[in-house]
Formats: sequence, structure tokens, C-alpha cells
Amino acid sequence: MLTKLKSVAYLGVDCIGVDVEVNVAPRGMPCFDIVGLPNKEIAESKQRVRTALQNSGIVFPSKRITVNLAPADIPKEGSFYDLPIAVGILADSLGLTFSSKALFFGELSLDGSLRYTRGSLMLALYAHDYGYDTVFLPDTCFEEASAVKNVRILPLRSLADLITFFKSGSVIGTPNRSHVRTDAGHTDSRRSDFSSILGHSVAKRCLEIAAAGGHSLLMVGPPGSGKTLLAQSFPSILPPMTDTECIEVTKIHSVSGNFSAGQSLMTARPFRTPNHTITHIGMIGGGVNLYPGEVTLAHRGVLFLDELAEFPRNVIEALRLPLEAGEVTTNRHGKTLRLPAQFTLLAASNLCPCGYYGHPTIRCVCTANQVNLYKKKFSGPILDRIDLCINVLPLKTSEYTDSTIKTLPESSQEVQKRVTVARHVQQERFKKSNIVTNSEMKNDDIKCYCSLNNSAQHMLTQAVSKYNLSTRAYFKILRIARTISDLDLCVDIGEKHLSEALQYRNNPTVVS
Amino acid sequence: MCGEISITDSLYPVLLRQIPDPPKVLYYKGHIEAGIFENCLAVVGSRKMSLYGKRVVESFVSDFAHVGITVVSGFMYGIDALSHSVAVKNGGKTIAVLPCGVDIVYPSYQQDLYDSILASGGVLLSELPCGFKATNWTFPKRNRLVAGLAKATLVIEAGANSGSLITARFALKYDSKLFVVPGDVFAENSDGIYQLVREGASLATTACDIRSFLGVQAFDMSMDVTSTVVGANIRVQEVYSLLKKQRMGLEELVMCTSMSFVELSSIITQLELTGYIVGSGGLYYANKT
Repeated sequence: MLTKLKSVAYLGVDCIGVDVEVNVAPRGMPCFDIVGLPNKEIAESKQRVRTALQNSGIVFPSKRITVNLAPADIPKEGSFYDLPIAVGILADSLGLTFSSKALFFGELSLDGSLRYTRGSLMLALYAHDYGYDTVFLPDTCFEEASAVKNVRILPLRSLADLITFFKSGSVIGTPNRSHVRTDAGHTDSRRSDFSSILGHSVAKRCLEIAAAGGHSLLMVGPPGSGKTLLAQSFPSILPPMTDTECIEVTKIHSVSGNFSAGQSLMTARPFRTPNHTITHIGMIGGGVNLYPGEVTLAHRGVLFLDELAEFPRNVIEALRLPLEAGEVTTNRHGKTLRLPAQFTLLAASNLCPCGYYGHPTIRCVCTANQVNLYKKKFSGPILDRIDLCINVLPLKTSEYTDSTIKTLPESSQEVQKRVTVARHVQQERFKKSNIVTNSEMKNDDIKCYCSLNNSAQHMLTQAVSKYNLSTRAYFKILRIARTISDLDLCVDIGEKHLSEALQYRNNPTVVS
Repeated sequence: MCGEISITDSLYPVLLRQIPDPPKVLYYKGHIEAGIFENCLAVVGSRKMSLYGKRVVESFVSDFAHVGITVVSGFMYGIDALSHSVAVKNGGKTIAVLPCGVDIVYPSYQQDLYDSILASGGVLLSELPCGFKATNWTFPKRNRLVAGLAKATLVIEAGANSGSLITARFALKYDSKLFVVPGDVFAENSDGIYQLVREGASLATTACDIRSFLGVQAFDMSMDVTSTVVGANIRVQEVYSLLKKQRMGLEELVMCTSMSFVELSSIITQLELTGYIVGSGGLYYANKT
């Protein structure tokens, strides 16, 4: 008997429909074959399915079983085909019938229970988009998949649950479907609040501007000056994600296996901190079926590169295009695939190999040549794409031991309020275009949205000749000035906004 | 192609002839006019120049260039290269003594400077024939020529192991005058300077100190810190007078002035644009001249 079931195959952070055809033939030598370019984990599913069925009290048919995953020319991977294959065999053994509008998804354990399987949100979204009404999946995936509305999600603990469902029609152990937006375990205890950081008013102001306008920020300074701490406090001032953004982000993290059982929708913006030993595939994404890289995992959030100068050159250079286009475009199996990569780049670095170049008291032991070579690691094109650049100098001891300072610095919540308001201003402004933040404005948009008053125009002209600003730097300053005036709730860019923006144009390659 | 001057030639620099081991032949590139070797001052210093050193070079060397003192240096990056380029920019004469053949640009990324020295009528000089590459022993040999060519040697910023100390000690050995510019006693670029002071160097705090030694008339240029900012309000004056006392970052200024961060940054930009202060590495300095 031939049973056809629907399933999917992952391609990047999208998926395509796959037919799981299970043929159980009464004639021929008994065997169990899977065809259709399965990878190792799918090939091994034979043993899991056979044992799980036997341990669920089903006699495994001694017949010729052939499973085809169609289309046959696309490589498949993932352990979630276990359930559809088992269902195909059960259909023959027990004569089960089910709606063609149902999807089956999940990895089997040898005892017949279902394990947590990555990518259930993606499947639920697929079901929603392509008109499937029911999704059977492991109960540990229920929270994740039920973020999608208008699809009936049926959680199963084991194969036995499934058999009972088809025999009696009753759903066993359906959890209460009151979907609550909970933070998916990403409330990181390492994240610090602005109020716990003393001093550093310049750096904090820069982070506020970066958060408000989505600008990229580079902090340079000696070790121990607080660069990493400042960066880690950055997520706390970012505006909350919208519902669509939540789904978008959760989908990426669900399919890349960064989720664990019982997690629901992600509501906190991702904050990715890859180590500098990362490969460029790890950063951009890759593999046969295109695994998302760090830039995609940081989508709608922050990519923090600590010790920027220590990253391999090719990894840094690979960031150029995603920074510009907001996505990674590549080709797999003759299909053009796009991985979203709309992130805010945050980077920190020392200025020399020993780290102390520019430190007010500790001496740098590097030679002039070493310092020059180190600075050369920040390539021009990457620096060009970084909007804000500041020096972070260590606090003086008096600044953090002074017991007379009673008032705590402003809390992240206060800053986040201003940032959110500034984002709303931008949303209003860019209603008609597909831009979200000021940092995405192209030169035409800048001409249109960044009007300067006369005195500001004069100041900018003066600054261009004084600092030898390039055209790109010129537009960069206008973008930042736009965000500063948005934070100030001003329609026009004034002199004070522009003069503040000019302070962050700092090029880290200058002598200090 | 490069030219040659032999020791018997009348063009051969007089001062150089008097050192214990003058080169038999000097190779040069550029135009040697009479008098270019007459009023030479060697300006050398650290490769790892700080903003302080940069400001000293800009202020001192532009003064020398205006009064017609020939600036001799070693073409290395840092103080040396900046001295050449400031001299060239201010229409002065400069001689670069190379640690290799004069046809080789070393370090090669200073090709622009090499060309501009030639274009300004300066000279590239070496005792090594064309095609000779720089190696570790050619640098101290070159330093001996820098000191030997000049009536006086000025050292701006030198660490404890700086190559400039070699040049300075040659100057002391040849009984020519040695000037050093004092720096921050905590800075590593001052270690060598104060070592030289102990060995008998004279302090120079203005270009005038050196000019009067060389007996050159002053060029009319005010060298004092401007006392106030012309036509600015009291808050701008306050920031400027703070920075005149001491270099500061924005952070410190916020604490010292009780002004808001936004207001301060606009004042800083205004002062920077009008040239009263310079900023680097997150710190701001009041400008001289």
C-alpha cells in the first residue's frame, strides 16, 4: 500500500515542500529502504522507526518497504522525517486514514516517544502559508509552534498517543493553548543595565544614538576601559520587537537549533558575540543546505565583535555586503536564497597588540611599526561602513570610588523610552518607503529627509574642508545628525545636532 | 639618476668634512644649490610620534622653514618624516639622508614624501651607491651623516632606546650643539630626552631658542597661546581656558564645567572648526599659534 504524506525540507531559513512516499509492498524480499538524497540522520531513521514501532506494541511488517523523499534531487537533512515515515508504515499495518491537510513532524526515540526537534516554528508557518490545517508534533515543540495562529497544533508524547488519536479521535494531553509571549530563555544574566555603569557619558550617549538610528558603532580603547561592559548593556536600551519581527527572529533561531524544548516566541532582540576564531562560513552562513551564520542569527538584533582587530581579515571583509544590503544572497541547488541579516554592528578593539596604546597612565610596549600594522587591520571599507566611532578611556579611580556621588546614572529603561520615541519618529517619516531606521537611508533619502538650516549648512561646509571629509563620511554625518535631532524631537537638523555628530566621526587610525 | 660629490669637490658640505670619518663620496638626488648645506639643522625624533610631538614639529619646523634654515632628517616615519613634510609645505629646504641608495624609497609607502621633497628643491642624500638596500648597520651610519651635516641637532620625542639618541650622541661627539624639546616626564617618549639632558643637551622650548643659536633673524610670527577666542561667548571662553591648562576629554569637561554634554560637544566642534583646539584619541588640546 502506498501512502503519501507532506513534509518540508529546510533551505536556509526557508523551506520547500517535500512528499514523503511510503510504499509497503507485500511481495518481494523484506527490506527497508529510504531514497531521495537522505543524509546520514535520515538513513539512520530506519533503525529508530523500526525499534520505536516494535516498542509501541506494533508488529513491524515483514514486507518490502520503500520510502521516497520527493523531489529526489534536493538533499534532505534533519531527524524530523521519523514521524511521517512511521505514520506511513502504520497506515499500512493498522489501516489508519488521515486528512491530506495534516503534517507530521518529529524525531522518534527508541521507546516510541517523541523528542524535541528543531524547526517546528518553520513547519507551522509553512502549514499556515500553504493551507494545511493540522500539525502533529512532539509536545516539547508545542510552545514554539503555537506562535502561529490559525493552525491546529496537536502535541504528541509518543506514537501511542498518535494511535489513540486515530482510533478514538481524542487528543491526549493537549496543553492549554493560551499563548503567552514569554521571553525564550534569552534573558541573559550577563546583560548589564546602564545604571550600573558609572561615568562613560560619551559612550552611553553614542550607544543611545546607535540604538535609536540603528547605526553601527566602533569603540576603541585600552583593556579594562569598559568597552565590553558597555556593549553588553546595549540590548537593554534597544526598542522592543514588533510581533512580525518576533516571528521572523524566532523562525531563524528555531531552524538553526538554538532553541530548547518548551521555549516559546523570542521577544528579546538577539545579541550575538562570536569569538574571533570564527570562520567566514560561520559568520555569513553556509553548508549544503545553507545554515544561517552569525549575521543572520543577529537579524533584528546586535552583532558584537569584541577585539575586532583579532578577527581574520576574510571574516571582516565578508561583512561588507550584509552591512550594506541587510541580507546574504547565495545559491543552493540552482535556487537563489536570501538569508536576512539586518543587524546593528557593535565592535570593540584595542589600538595595538599590547593594548595600552592611548592609555593615560600605562605605557604601551609596542613599536611604532607594530601599532601601524595593528591599525591597518581595520580596513578602509569596513571603517567606512561604521557610522560612529569613539575612544573609550578608562575611568579615573576617583570617578568610581567617590562616595559623595549618590545619584545613580540613568537606568536603561529611561534611555529605552527615548530610543523608542525616536524609532516612532523614523517610522512615521519612512512610512512610504521600506526603510526602518536612519542608518538605512541612501544618498537620495538623505537629500530628501535631512534638511539643514542655514547656519548648520555653513558649519558642515566648514567641517568638510577642515577635516577633509569624504563623500561617504559627509552622508554618514548627516545620517547621525538626523538621528540626534530625532532624539531631540526636532524636524530640522540644527547646528547643535550637527556639531555633536561631528564629534563621533573620529577615525581610530589617528595618533593619540 | 643620482649625482655624486666627492670629498675634494667644492660643493662637499664643509661641516661633514670635519667629522672623523667623512664619506669619500656622497650620492644625491635633486638639485644641490650653493648654500643649501650652510644653515643646516638636524631635526630627529621618535618613530612613535605622539600628538604632542606632532604639534612641536608643526610649530618649530614651520618657523625654521620660513627663515630659511635647512631641515636635515632621516626620512623615517614619525618625527623625521613629518619634519620633512612640514618643511616642504612651508616652502623650506630639506635634506633627507637615507639609509640606502638614493634611488630606493625606504619605507616605500613614503613615495609621496620622496617626490614632494624633490619637487620642492630639496635633496636626498646617501653615502651608499644606488641600489644599496637598507640593513641594520646602515641606519647608525646614516645617523652620523645627519648629525655631521648640521650646525645643531634638535631631538623631539625619543624613547629610551630610540635611534634618535644615536644621532644626538654623534652631535655631542662632533661638538655641535644639541637641543632637546622637553616633554611629559611620565611619557615613554620623554625617557630618551631626559637622558640626553643629563648628558649635556640644551633645552629648547620655542623655535626662537634654536634660531638665536643659529643667528637667524626671527620671522614675524606670534607663537603665544591666544588668550581668548575672538568673538565668542563666556561659555566657549571657559572651555578654551580649561583646555589651555590641560588636555582633557569630553568626559572630564562635563565634570569640570557643569555644562550639558550636548552643549559641550557643540562648543568643542566650534572651537575645533575655528582652529583654537585640536582633538585626537578622545582628548582635546589648545592649539598654539
